[in-house]
Amino acid sequence: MTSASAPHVAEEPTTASSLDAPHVKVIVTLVEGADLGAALATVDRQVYGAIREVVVIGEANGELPSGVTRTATLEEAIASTGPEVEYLWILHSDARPRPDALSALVSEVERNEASLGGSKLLLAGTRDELESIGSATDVFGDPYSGLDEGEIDLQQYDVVREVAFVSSVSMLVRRDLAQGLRGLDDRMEPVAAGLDFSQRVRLAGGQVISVPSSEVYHQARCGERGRGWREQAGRLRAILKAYRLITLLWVVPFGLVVSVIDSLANLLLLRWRPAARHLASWLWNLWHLPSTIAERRRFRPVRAIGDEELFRFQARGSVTLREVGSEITDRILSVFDDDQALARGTKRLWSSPGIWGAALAGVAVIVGAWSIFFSGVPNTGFSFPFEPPSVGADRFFAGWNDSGLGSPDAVHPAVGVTSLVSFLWFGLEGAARTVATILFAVLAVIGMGRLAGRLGFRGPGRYLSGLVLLAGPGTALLVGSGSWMALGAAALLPWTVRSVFLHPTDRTRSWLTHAGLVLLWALILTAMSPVLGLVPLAVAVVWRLLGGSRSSVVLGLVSLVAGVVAAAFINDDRGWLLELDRRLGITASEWWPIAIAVAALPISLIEARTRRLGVLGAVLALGGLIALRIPFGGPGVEEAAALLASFGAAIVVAAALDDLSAEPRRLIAALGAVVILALSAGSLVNGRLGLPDGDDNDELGFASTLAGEGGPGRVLMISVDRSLLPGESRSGPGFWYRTVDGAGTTIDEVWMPESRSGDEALDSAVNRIASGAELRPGSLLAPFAIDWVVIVGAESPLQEILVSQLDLVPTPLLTGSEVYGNPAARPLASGDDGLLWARRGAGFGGAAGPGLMSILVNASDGWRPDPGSEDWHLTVSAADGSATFTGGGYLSYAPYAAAALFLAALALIGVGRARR
Amino acid sequence: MTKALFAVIVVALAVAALMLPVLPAPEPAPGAAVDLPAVAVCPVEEGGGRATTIAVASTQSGTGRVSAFVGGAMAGSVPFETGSGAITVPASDLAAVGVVTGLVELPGPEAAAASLMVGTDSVGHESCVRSAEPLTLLSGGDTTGDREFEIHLMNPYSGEATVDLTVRSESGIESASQLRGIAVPSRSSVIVDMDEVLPGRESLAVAIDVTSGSVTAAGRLLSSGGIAIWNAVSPGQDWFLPIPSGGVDRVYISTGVGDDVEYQLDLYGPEGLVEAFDQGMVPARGSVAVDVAAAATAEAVAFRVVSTQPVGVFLRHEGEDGLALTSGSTVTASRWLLPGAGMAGGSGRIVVLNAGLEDATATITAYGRETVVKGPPVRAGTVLEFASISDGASAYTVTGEGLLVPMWVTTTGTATSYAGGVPLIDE
Repeated sequence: MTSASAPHVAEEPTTASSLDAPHVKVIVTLVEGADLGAALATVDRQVYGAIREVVVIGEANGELPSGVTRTATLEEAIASTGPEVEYLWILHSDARPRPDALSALVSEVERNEASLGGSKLLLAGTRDELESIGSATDVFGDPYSGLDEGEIDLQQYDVVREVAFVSSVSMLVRRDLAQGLRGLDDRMEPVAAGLDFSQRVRLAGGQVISVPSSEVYHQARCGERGRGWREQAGRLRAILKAYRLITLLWVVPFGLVVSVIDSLANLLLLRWRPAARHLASWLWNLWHLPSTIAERRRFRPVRAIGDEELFRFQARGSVTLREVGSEITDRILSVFDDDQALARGTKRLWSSPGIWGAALAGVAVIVGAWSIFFSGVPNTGFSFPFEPPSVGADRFFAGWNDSGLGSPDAVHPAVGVTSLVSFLWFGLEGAARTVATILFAVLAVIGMGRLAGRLGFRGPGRYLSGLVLLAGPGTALLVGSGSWMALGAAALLPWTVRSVFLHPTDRTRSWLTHAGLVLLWALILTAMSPVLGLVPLAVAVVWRLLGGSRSSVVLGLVSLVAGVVAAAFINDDRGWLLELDRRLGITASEWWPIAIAVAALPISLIEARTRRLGVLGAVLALGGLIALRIPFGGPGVEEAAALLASFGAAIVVAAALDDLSAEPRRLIAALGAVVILALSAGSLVNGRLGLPDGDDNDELGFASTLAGEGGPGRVLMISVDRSLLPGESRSGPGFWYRTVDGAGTTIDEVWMPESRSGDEALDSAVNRIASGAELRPGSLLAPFAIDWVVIVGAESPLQEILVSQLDLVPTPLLTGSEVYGNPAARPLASGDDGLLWARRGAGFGGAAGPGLMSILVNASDGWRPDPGSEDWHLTVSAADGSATFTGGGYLSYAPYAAAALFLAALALIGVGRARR
Repeated sequence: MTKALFAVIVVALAVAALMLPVLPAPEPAPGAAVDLPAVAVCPVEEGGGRATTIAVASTQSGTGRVSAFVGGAMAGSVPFETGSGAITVPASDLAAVGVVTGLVELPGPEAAAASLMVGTDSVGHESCVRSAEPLTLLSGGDTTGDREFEIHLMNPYSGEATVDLTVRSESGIESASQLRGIAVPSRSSVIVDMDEVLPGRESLAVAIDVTSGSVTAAGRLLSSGGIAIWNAVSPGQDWFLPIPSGGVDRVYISTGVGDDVEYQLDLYGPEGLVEAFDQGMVPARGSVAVDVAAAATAEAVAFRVVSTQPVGVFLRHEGEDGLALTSGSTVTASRWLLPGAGMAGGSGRIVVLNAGLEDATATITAYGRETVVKGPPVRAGTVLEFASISDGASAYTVTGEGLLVPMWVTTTGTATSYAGGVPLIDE
């Protein structure tokens, strides 16, 4: 042991200045294994002249130097301090302060009118390695020093500043405050005790500062630098003592979740101790809960301010999760990143609260799409497989629309997108569809995050809002009915909207790039959901009306040019845009407007930036929900309104979760956002991103398997429940019906084109059959190449009627549906002398022959060669061995113009970047 | 100011989103009025000493077709064209042998068909059934002595059908497994041989429950060379039953319900209506046989059966002049078709009940080589019996101005048959 000299105490003042200086009582707390004599010697060497008294806490070995007294407890030492002492310097016996440490502390605490000051701690035995310069914490009390491991003191932090807490290794506290607070909590380890004491000082109205000019070398014998389970338990106790009940209501459950996630993550890293520490920490606090409650009661009269003052000095998110997340990423990246350049970047990455929202959203997407990973995308509702790329492209570029009984009308422009995706995925339509679907989910989350980022959000809600976009009020209903296109449109919407918002600081992007990006995104969005293509402009305009400045109405107008991709489709099938009867009839729950209002209303009352964004979201969401109830527009308008509602709700969530705090308006908004998230997440749990289960093509596989020589014809599907039929259906007498391709439905068949003469003839036949007047319904359906009649779902009056008929053969091929074979059905394409053709691409083909081929599709002049008609159906010459269709009219060039625009958009982006 | 404005916007939009009425879910067009095709299902037996002829009577012109179905296929089909009158199609033209299902596609709703089975000493005559019902009743048959009682389940349609038979005899509800889940394949018929399944039963009340598909049932009772065919009927609570003069044995009243059913038998005699000539209780899912011999006089009479729950009513005659069975009628009408009436030879009679409160004129028209019309008056609440008015007729019509119920009676000396008419319901 180093010999201890008597400390320099105030009874022996030496200078005039020391007479004026505030009197300080030094309280040395014993640390096991530390050399007390050496500690007292360093106290003795202090240049500060107004040390009044030196007290050692606890039972020390050996004699104490003269002038040094002993007290049993810290509380006793504080309580026994007289009013002549203004400050208490609490010092660990393993601390070795520099001679001017106390002087600096007193000087800065006085100058800043602080109540508590902490020294800069340097690790003893190192080359000035920093241990603490005062710390922030997260809301769970976990300390965040901001120091890198082994960081050397180069005076880079030498600024007196307010901090969340200072270590109890060396702290100077006002005597009166220490007495009011009854000192440090003796159940806590040093770091936790410092945190607890600092928090109480702050809540009592005091200021806590770090004084870097007061340097103390710390031998760190007092614990594992804050990493032991007792430290962890102490920190938990500290927040349990400090926070108000309303804060504890959400902090404790979240704290538990953090403990569980951290434990699991560490177990993944093959570390069991963190889990044990968490468990011990919670159990310890449970055990000491009565004393914690007693401490809270004792502290209540002293508390002067609310928890918000603590939040000011806290880091966002969870420090623990940030560290473990960073470590996991490091380990993954280290496989590819030898020099750890990326890994270093991840530390900053994980310090962003938004990234935790992204991680949670990512997990939700993986869970929400797990079934798709293994089983592919369901083929039911409005979700049909892609066609081969060449066939899809043929249909998109003014080819034959094969939906129902066929039509020269343009197909839905999404067929063009799907054929492009299939082409890019090497022509593997099934795989391309699966990849595209998962990509949609990822794009939706990232897109919302990026859009929210551009709108100025940084909180955890920016990525979580992507889940609301995927499964919010409208998307859930559309996707729940199987609308794969709606899923795609939802994913593309934030990217397109983002492209009409200019970056607040990055001015390097040229207008060419901006225009190219807008055009590119808008073309794909409009192809997936033509009416939704109006939304980017609408958002830009509403944003301006709300006083925003970064949206570009000009770029919004540029996005309208993309409407060319859907021009032919909308012109040919105006009912899709206008006919109310063709709507799906989706109705959002009344909880949605309530939840959106609960989240958005408090936001509208807070600071300007968030307020404007929140109200923008509310206007879009509620506007969409209102549009769903206005009796105007067909399924296209309904789809856009529903997706707009989800998009707006997603923005509201991003705004409400942007800045988590206990401020009542933000708290209410956050609660509303959580409700919206919970309502949305519900529809994702099916593992198919909300898409319904089933494979209609698999169920109707018998139509191909049992097809005759002429190949599969059509299947007439009937149900009283429209949602049970694939794609759009037509109204029959007391039921819905539609025909589908017996070879399997594809995405071009989702929407039914406008009714033509063949469709009217089929409608008459169906009506006659439904009246019961037809004894041979099979013969009546034969000219439509209907090989099978399938009645799906609940009992229909038609089932009763079909009991008493002669030529449709009930065949037990499906469970839950009635299947009737039609032996009388005519082949889809037949000619003289038994000549039979089959589908070939988007047309028909087979052996050449003399005479005419009767092709049972609606007649149209666009077919070659020698198109004609017989009743309602097509005849062509069989001489060429094939029949192909080319659409006419000026709008048949619109898809070509759209393709040219797409290439032009890519060129604009390229040129814009090159010029930059 | 901005805060307040924004808050007002949010609240106003939320209220609008909540208060605007939800658009009604799209509904399909209203269901079409059911207009079932005019068809009739007929029992056909060809061979075994008997031949069947299908007779079609029509008051309208048109085309039709008679087809026979056996073993899941169409055994034969004969198209026909008729004006206002009657045509006949021998079953032998359909190339069918054995007991098969006949389906007549009628020219329209103003037409009817009947089966006429004629053997050396037997005549069976019954109208074909226009519509299949899910539950029908059949009573009047027995399996005592040398009698053969068969139930002919006919399914001419393309879907398989399944039938449960609930049979109550004097022993109670019969539990033979052959009576449950009887599959009647499409375009086929099934004969349930009751004398094999339930031999020695004096009283058999059969409820035919079609659990899936479409099946029409008829009874066939053979005794000492005689044959009777009669249709299973849909239950009703008000029945009319004309009785020809002389020799009626019994009226059978059966029910398919699970409770005892009260009935009352009113007699239309020469003196007019005698209410509550007989009354009693039909046991649950069983039948009662009412001996009406006391009421049978030298003149024709009729009964009206009223019950508290739906029942089926049948008339059985058995004597030296043969065996006859037929079912009653639940409707009265001013126009009736009697297809096949007069075809069997022997002496024929029409028995016509006027169940109304006013006298009626009944115009009787015979369709055959020549059409003869006769129009006798029928007093209210009485029954009139006429001898056949034309030799070689193949159908009769009865038209009048009252609530009439006719029956055709064939007597050959060795055989007797009763056949109810087919009402033409006024629009």
